[in-house]
Amino acid sequence: MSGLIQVVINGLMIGGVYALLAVGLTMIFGVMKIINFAQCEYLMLGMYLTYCLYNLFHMDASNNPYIFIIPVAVIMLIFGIVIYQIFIRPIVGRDMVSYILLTMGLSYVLQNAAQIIWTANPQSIDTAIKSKSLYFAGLDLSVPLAKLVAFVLAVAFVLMVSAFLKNTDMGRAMRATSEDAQIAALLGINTKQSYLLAFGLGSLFAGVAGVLLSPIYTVYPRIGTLFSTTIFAVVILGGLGSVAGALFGGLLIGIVENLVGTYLALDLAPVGVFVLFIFVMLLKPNGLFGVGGRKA
Amino acid sequence: MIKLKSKSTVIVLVLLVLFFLFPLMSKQLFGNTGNYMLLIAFNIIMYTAMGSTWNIIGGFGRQISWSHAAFFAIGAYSAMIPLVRWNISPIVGILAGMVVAMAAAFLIGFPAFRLKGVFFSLCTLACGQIVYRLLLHFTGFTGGASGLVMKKINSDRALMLLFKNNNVYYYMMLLLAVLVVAVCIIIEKSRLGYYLKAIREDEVAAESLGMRPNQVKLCAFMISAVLMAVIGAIYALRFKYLDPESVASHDLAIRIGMTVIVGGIGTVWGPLIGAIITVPLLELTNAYFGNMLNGGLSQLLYGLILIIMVIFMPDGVISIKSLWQNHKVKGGL
Repeated sequence: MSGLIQVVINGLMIGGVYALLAVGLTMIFGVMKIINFAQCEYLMLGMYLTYCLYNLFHMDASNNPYIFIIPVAVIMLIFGIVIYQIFIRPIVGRDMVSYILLTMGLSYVLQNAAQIIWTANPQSIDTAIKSKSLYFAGLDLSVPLAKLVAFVLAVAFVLMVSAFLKNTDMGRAMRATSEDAQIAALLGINTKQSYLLAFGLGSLFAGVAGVLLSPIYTVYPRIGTLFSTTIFAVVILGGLGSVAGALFGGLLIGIVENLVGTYLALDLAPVGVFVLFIFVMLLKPNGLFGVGGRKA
Repeated sequence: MIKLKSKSTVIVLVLLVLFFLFPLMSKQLFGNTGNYMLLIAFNIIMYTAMGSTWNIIGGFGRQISWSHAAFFAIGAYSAMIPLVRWNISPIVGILAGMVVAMAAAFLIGFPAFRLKGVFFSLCTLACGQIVYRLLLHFTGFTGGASGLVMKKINSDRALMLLFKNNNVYYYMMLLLAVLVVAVCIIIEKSRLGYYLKAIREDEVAAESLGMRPNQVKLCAFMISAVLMAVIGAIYALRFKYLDPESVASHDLAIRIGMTVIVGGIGTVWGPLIGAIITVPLLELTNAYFGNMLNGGLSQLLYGLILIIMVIFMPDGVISIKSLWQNHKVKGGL
């Protein structure tokens, strides 16, 4: 029994990070109706940024990478905006095929640019938090500290996004744009600004997720591919454009992945995720929290 | 207009003759690099064929599928596994592969076509990954990540489709490519082709006129998968080695689509043009820049080509012709 609880907890932990990645994706989708296939490459960049900053300031094992959340977030926000201005803006208003291909091309470019800069060898940061874990003797559970921190911060970020979208003018403008960009524009909302913001924030979240994952995974140029398909499954499972859906989908997929990985076979874990995903598609094509955005 | 059409027919025929004669000339033309050039020519033909099959559903119906590498892999493994493990002729394997690919296309397409646009693409992406992971997992059967190697052959055995001379496979692929393109031409002019184009333009309108878009798409998807499986089988026989990374990976799926998009999506000759441009380009960048800058440069160029094509030439290289054509008409008026 405690084994099962342990597996579920492990799943929840990684699910929180999936949720954070998925929120960025779902936000870009909600506002612009496009899928950013390069989203997980932003994660990779976030991890490399953490790695560089960590070494730049000569951090050693006694430090932890979380102090870099804000600098990485700012850099990734700017990076996302620049990418939007250069690559995405020229094709705003085109059909979705253009977006798919453009962002796929972008993901190749980022992956290989990273390979050129940092080589293909995996890198990791030197921090003691990697090996620490909390042990609950009563329940016979152990939770790696890095994963716990990642989970808590990721969920906190997701809740912050949700509050931002609900309560601020900018958030309302973004939600209005996602409802109907044309009418929002008629009502005086700067929809282009909403697009820009969504894209920048998507990149910001991926960067933050990168910081959170840097003590857990080694970073290499193609690490994004490890997550990308899973994240797409999370987003669609939860219902595209829905922040609550992304959170729930992330946690659910994290748990399923760990259950399949533990009780069936480790390398079949993604298969379990995709099978679940296809089943949900069959039963609820709009996703679990879908709001009818499926027409895009 | 008619004149231009006959002109492009002439170009295609000349190309076909060139490809046909190439194995006889490559040694004389390129000397030591003749075999390498022949390999590039083989790849051009193969990508033309692969692109054309992808184009049936991806171009005519504009349903961007990222699971076609999976069908390619299914065909390749279906031919290879019986041959290596039980010494059964690949002819049986190819037929089995076609059936399996058709079944897989049904299994993938049935849920995936409930989704529209980009969601369909994502669903096929997930399905392609499932096949890739399964191939990696069942090591005892597929050889897993270390792959499946065919024994070296000493004599030609026609019934087993084993030939010492690789040119045989070259001609098999050429024949197959011609067949696939012929199928595309037939489909484009057929009821199915018009249905697919109607779906591409406006699925809701097509449905309201009494069409069943999902059935049409599924049908095209299955045709496309079956053809892809045969291409995969010939690939396996030619290279005598398979691993999931080279036949079922996400990268291959993207590359198939990219070939078509560079040439011209939804056109019969787009895949050919795309293959003629991208295959040598990628080979050249690999050969010259492969070891430079940590090996990232050639793939970087790959992504950049895709981006540049989408931004500046969304209808592919083939659109240059129609631009020029329009220009001429305007000039004439």
